[in-house]
Amino acid sequence: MNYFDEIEDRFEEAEFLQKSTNKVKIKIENWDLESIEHNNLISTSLRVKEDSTFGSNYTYGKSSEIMEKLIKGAEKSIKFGKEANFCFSSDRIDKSSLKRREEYENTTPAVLFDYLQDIMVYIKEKQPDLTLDIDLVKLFDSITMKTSQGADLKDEISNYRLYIGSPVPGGGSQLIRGFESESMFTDLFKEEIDELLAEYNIAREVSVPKTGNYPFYFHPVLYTLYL
Amino acid sequence: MKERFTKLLSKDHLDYGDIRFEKNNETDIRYEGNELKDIKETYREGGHIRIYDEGSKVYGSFSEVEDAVQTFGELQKLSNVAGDFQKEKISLKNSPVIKDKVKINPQHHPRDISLSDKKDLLKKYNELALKQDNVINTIFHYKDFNSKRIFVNSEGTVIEYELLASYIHGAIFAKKGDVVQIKGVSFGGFPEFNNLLNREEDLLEKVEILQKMLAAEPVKAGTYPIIVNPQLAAVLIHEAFGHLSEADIIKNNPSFIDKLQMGKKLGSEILNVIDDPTIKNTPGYYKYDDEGQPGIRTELIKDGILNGRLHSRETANIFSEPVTGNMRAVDCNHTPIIRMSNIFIDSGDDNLQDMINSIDKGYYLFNSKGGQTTGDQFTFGAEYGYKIVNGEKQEMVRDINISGELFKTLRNITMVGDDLTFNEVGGCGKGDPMQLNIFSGKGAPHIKIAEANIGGR
Repeated sequence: MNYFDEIEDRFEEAEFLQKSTNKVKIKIENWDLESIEHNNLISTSLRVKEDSTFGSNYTYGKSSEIMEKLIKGAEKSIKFGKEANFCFSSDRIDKSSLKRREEYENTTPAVLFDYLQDIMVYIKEKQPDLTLDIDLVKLFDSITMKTSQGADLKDEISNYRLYIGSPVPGGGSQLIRGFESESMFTDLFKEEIDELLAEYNIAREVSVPKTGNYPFYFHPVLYTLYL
Repeated sequence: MKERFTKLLSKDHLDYGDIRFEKNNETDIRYEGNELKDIKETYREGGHIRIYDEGSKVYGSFSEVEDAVQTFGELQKLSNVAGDFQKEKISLKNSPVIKDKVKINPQHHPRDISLSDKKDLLKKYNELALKQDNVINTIFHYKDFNSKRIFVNSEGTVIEYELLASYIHGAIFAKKGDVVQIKGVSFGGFPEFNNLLNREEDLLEKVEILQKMLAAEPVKAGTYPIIVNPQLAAVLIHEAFGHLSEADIIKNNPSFIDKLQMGKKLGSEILNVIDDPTIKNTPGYYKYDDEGQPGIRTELIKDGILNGRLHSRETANIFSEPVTGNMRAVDCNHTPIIRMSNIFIDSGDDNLQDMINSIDKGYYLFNSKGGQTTGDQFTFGAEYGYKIVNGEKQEMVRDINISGELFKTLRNITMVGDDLTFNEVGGCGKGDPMQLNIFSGKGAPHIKIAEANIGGR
């Protein structure tokens, strides 16, 4: 927040939000490790008000050049901005969690690989001919916000995601099951995996529909897309 | 910076490593109806490291030059763990060491135009569209993007290069009675900003078509011979076939590897499909990709036979095929993935009138309007079309969808026009999360498909 003093000097009102994202993603394709991605990224947004007019800008990074251009961009934006009939926050809330951070750091790559191994062994026993794809992601966002109204907000969010999928026999669509959690998974989701494998085996026997006009009904999941 | 990155990559005995650092300037302006919804100039920078070691691949992005060392160290740690898990060891196809600097020097650079002037230009087109009869709403978007990149790898390659584009894209909504129709408008500056100026007549031509669309009847569903205009044919070949040319899409999908064996007959013998980043003033023009490889012309389908594939160094090694220089990253937060440069159906010998004359009962379809592909199945909307009866183009039709199986459709291409045209504005979505690459072009001449499924009333 070294730049916040300067931002306060340059604008009547300002809201400065910075998010630091740490992400590890392990990608398995056709039973083998495809890649590991590890990002350390900082993104910043700036919302400002001058004469009740609103301006904004965003950037990635935190260097002085980036911050200067972020401020200049917001200054330009304000020249074309709409009326700002709202107030920036003045709350002071600290929801950063040492426990969550420690848990994230303790979920080492070895822990992730062990978990993946367990899932792969379970599926291999049940359906060795499946083309298995898995994405396992662990993510930790640390968010801070300051405003010229005195707000000082901190939050830390951890998120774990697991996608298990396979292309249906013959190519085409992908069968997928997705899971999310605030903490690292312990469950192997055997019930859901069994359901996916059952769909995979049904998909082996389906045919392509013949073009034409037919009565049909939507499965509830598909119907929500239609809406 | 180059020296620091080179030193970092040579520190340990990696199989391979590369670093790409970018400084990106971007302008976005958006109108919805009369309202200026968004206007901003942004600057962002950051880098991306890839490490291939002990047969595994690890990559990651960082925000500042100073963070490169830390990110590199973390990636190395991951690489050490990954090696035990990796069954099939990954390696890269050999590549020459390149040292080069590539600058784009357009006569009319968007950075020389003020934000206010860009806004006024967009506003002018938006207002012109809004004041036309039956027009009820508009969405107009201006974007320019200038990316200055440095690429360094552990083999000694050092390349400085640049990407530059500006474009305007609009959607105009019109209503008459119960009928609502939408017409797209695109003006592209790849790289000349001046291509976006003085386009009022083009805009009004589009609005005139929109007025006719309001009065048109919906197309009648059925199976017909169709003529597809270059814009729609370009999207069809990009979406339905082009993505299956990307080796990373098919390399771990045994069903597609089987269907897409080199030398397999995929289309009629008059069909030639090419990917070519060397065509200047097109959205997909570039000299080097984001893996430091020269972009080259690749004949994907030659006389109807599968002849080439789009590759990275990694997939070229897996398939034992040539590296094609198609690894592209939309920005520093993303690793490069295999992407089309300018994909197009090459010109044939037929003229449009002969195509129309050859059809007793069918349709002449124009421009894409959304759609999707699932493997080798596709569904696309067309903005509008015309009936063809007894070799004559007749009244306009609307609300058109074409669907089918890719390979059957390619075999059904029976005429290819002599009028290859590239779409002014590119664009391609791919990846997880979805990454929109604006530097992806597409083109085609008119084509005739002997039999196509048309969805409609």
